[in-house]
Amino acid sequence: MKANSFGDRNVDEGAESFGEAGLDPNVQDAIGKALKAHFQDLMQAPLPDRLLVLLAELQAKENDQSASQGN
Amino acid sequence: MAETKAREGGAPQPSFRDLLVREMPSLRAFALSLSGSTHKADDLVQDTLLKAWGNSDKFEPGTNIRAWLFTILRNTYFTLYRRQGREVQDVDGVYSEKLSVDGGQEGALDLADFRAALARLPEDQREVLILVGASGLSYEEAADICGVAIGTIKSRMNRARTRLAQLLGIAGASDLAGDRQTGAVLKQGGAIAPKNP
Repeated sequence: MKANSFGDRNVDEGAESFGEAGLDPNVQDAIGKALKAHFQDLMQAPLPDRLLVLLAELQAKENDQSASQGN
Repeated sequence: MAETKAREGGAPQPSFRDLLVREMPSLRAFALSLSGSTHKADDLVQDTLLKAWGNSDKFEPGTNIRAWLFTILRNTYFTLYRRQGREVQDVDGVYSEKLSVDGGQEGALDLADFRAALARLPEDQREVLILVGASGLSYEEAADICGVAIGTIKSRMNRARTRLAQLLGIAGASDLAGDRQTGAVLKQGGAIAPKNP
């Protein structure tokens, strides 16, 4: 039930017995790299048009206001 | 409303809108991570942009706008979206072709395996990994965003990393003998996905 079980609940029990000092720096490094690669991947996804349109509309509003204020 | 500082003379500074545009990819990535749904993520980013625009006077120039925007997005998520439950993940289409990253002594880490493991973490642990480990915010900024103490962020971070390492079968030198084997089985059998009955 303990060591080799990768079921959802049991991992937590294992995690406590490891403690933070138990994590190899190489492992930490590998996880860090994977996290950054994962996030980078998400960031590279093309933005949907509606968000770009929204920003354009907001900018247009701002320009209108600036113009009416005589700036 | 948004002031355009550049108009006041001096060196041209990016307008508030420029800052928002620059942060859109990271905002959307954070929204995808939180909600697990592309549709919800886009709604979340849209709400966040509107709120940020309407409250631009509350942003303190010189502070990290990413942290400020992430706070708005996270609050929006927890007040409006989370009650609808975490949908079945539909973000797979967002990912680029299968990639792996250099796992140092552990060999290549398969990103699909990594994502499967990440998806199995408790929400608070996954969040802190994304905030600190992935998007590069400081512990202090993450603590502000989540409304908890820095110590809480640090301990979540440690638990999250340890658990990820276990799920990936790379738990560390002290357990290499046992875990190497488990890890090999995990990778071959793709044992991260199936859960114990």
